[in-house]
Amino acid sequence: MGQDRVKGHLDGLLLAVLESGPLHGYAVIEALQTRSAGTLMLPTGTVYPALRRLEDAGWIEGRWSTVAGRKRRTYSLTPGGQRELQNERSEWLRFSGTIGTVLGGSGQSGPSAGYHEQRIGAQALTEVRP
Amino acid sequence: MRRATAGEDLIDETVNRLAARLPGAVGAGRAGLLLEARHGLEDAAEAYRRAGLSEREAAERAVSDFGDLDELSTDYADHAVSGSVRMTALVLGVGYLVTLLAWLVAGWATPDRLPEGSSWAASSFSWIGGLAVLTTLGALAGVRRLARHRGNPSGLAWLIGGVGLACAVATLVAAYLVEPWGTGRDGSDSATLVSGVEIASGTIVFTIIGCSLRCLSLAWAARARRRTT
Repeated sequence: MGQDRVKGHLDGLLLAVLESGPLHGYAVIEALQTRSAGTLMLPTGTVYPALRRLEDAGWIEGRWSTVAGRKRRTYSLTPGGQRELQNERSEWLRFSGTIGTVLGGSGQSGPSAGYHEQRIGAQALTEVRP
Repeated sequence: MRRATAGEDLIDETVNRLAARLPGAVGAGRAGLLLEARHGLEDAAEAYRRAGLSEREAAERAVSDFGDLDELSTDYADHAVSGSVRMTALVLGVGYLVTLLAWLVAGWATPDRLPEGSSWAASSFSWIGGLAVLTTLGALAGVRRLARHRGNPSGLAWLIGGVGLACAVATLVAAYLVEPWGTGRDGSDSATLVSGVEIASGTIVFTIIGCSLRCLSLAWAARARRRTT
């Protein structure tokens, strides 16, 4: 999948990965790749500043800890991050539903009659106004 | 001492090249982010080694997956600038609160020992302190808002650096007008208390100047960097 497309949804993806529990930076990258079966091709270097930005936003919190002898910053979701994740999910469902409806093809070659009726109605309203 | 392997050398070189693209030479936030990036590269190289690649090949793949440093450096620089804005804001707000509180306590403890300078200059400390605290709250809220909308924090860095510098210079001028520096005091306990508060206030003001200048220099460097990439 294209990097630009993924970058646009990076915040939601990172929050979703952290929903299952606290993870450090590289574990977040691994979880993203595992969940997407390796189709999310994102430069790994973009994840670390994005995590810090989400921390600045108050959606995740990070703590330094020592894992396997290495000092690591482990991130977990905050209640605000949980709410933001729900918003991202709702927005994505609306967006993908709309795009899916258009791309899926309904068999109509042009706008529906309802669309034209709305346009005429709107025009009539404009003409009535002084 | 253990000699670094070819893979470690490559990772070191990558992190150093990324560090060279970031504004400012110091800062805990900057160092922490670079440490995270380094460990991420080491983890990735280790995973490739476990998958059967040689040490050199594993490091090359990890560095290749990391991404283009010129493109990445903008996000890393934004983090460094945000960290500086937050630090300057906290030093400014907390510094003025502590200073005003210290003078309030000194006023209660030794009302006869306080300088009797221009009343407008003396009252200006409260206004400057109020402005500093309000700017701090605004800057902290701004950092959060920009992080949520992926905004560029340079504008906020100019603002907090400028306000911090202006407040500090105004405080020094007002302090001089109230009582010119170097005015002698007797050695009584109350005079010692006032002198102690003066020294503490001066230290805080000069710390604010240092943080504000650093914030402005980071904003300047980030802007120059953004123009070249």
